[in-house]
Amino acid sequence: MTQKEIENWLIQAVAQILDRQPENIDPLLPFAQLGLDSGEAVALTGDLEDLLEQELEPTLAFEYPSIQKLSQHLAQA
Amino acid sequence: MNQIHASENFAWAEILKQQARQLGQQDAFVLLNRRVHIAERLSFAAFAQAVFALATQIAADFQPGDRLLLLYEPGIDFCIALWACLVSGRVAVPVYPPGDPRTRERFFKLSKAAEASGVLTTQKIRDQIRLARWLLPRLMRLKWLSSDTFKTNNPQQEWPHPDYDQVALLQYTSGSTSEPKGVMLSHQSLQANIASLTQARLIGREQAQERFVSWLPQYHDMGLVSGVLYPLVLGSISIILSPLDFLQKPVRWLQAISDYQGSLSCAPNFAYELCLKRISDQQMQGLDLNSWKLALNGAEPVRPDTLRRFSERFAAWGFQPESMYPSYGLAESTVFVSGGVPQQAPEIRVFSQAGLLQNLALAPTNVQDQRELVSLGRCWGQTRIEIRDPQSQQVLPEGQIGEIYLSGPSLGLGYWREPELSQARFQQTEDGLWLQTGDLGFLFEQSLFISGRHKDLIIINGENYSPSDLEQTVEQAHPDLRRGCGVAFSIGEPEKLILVQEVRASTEDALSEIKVQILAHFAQHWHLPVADLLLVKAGVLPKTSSGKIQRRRCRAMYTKNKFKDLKS
Repeated sequence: MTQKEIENWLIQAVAQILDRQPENIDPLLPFAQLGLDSGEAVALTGDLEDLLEQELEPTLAFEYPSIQKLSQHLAQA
Repeated sequence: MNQIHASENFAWAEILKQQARQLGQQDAFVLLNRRVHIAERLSFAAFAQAVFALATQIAADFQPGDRLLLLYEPGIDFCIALWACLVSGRVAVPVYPPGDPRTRERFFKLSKAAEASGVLTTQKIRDQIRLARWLLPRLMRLKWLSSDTFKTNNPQQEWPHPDYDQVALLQYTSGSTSEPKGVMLSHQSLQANIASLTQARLIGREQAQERFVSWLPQYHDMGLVSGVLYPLVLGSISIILSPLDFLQKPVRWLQAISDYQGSLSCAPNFAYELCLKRISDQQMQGLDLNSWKLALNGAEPVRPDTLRRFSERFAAWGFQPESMYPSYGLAESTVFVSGGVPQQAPEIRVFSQAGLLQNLALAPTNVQDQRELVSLGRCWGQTRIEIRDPQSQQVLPEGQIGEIYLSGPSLGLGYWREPELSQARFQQTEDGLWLQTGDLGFLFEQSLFISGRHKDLIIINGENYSPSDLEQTVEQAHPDLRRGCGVAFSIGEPEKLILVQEVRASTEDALSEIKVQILAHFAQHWHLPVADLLLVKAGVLPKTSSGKIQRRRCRAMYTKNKFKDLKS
């Protein structure tokens, strides 16, 4: 998947968790600042595992703490 | 199977030897990886030897009573270190690895507060920390011991009984960063609590042999007792998963129970909710939860709705409603206080909401006036419970709501180096030591019900937060915020965090910027989503005559939309 595809998927996923419109999710903002708690950030990596069909560290969203950074990392990996 | 009798103290070393003798090569601890496959295992015989070797080294390096930080990833190394501290009479202080920048400050505060002499850890964590230069200066004075690589000749096999009244463990309570509070648990507290668990577990199932499954953090009371201490005392297998692996994919918990025939597994209510929300039917395919006889639900409010939905949903995969085991407990009393009778479906009672608001447990007068509460059973072992009037301290009869007080040998000795707080909460009376729990509840037909929390505590995802800590973080975010004029509270189920803060009159044009700064500053300190942040005019928040914010009134005002946000 391309970075753009992963980014879009993440925007949808975060919007759903936070019960907000996807256009209100800023991919540059840190997850914590968007309103995601640490458990939700870990859960996100679990859903990403299914999407990308690869094992991911549960702490990935702490190391790459925004939608943009995380999608960039995953597209390169 | 070796059963421990209530009120009978035992030497930790003797238990280890006995299990090694009788159970030898059987698995004592099994660590699972993310694929729920066995990553590491240790037999009872090997475990005992590993503990004795480390205890020998610890006894050479440290004095009795010295506090040692236990700095480990979830796993078997932690179990060895904890048992080695118990056996050698050095005080274990379980903490989590300081990997996350947000928990660093807490780690330092805790190591300082505990006046630790040393750190037990693995070579891997030690290497990681060596690379992190910011850590070195503050931890250099501590003596480090890598428990997985040290070598010792002739591990000592004979160990004396512990001093049962001495501190065995400092249990730091979760959540709050500003003042970490360490409950001093004695050897006696731990063993008495184990005895009460044993008594509760065995009612109606005298021959039960357990297989424990736990993903709970090992450094917290529930994970520590149910994953590290109790299984070995019983001679039962303990199957361990990492908390992060559970949070990443909750199905791993149920898969571990299914694959390894787990019979006893504990978790706070939020974990059962997480299973309902995040496990798909497809993920459950082929799993069988029939072996799970005690699904202990505790450490945070037990919700009737969660019990019902979990039992209904997972019945299709062999889960039995009577396995749900709602319970009450807290670190100040080691962990376990009360619970029902195993293998009997949880009891959900309907009370009058209006009655509860007047501190009385009454039958509902009509269908609108209903509130369901889950029975948390009765006290086991030698634990005694009293419901007292919060003002007069008078003991209240059944059916009246008051503050829950506890007494008995599971109680801790107080908070480490906090004499005032200890005296306030652990009250020495003619009738022995009584703990003021801070929880509100009542007894009804001899069962305990919790109706609220006394201390405005905020519990989100199983972590306790003290509102004053959160308020402090908010007011420090910007110079134009009024000090001591902010409030943090939670609403709804699951709880959501609400922040309301007064601003100075002069700053009204930069409010959006201030909000952004508050949220950014808050996120640096807390792993906690803010559901709503309101900035309000000076003087809006209700205060007591002594100038303290009235949090309950603030909450009520918020839910009635009484606050006007200056920004909107």
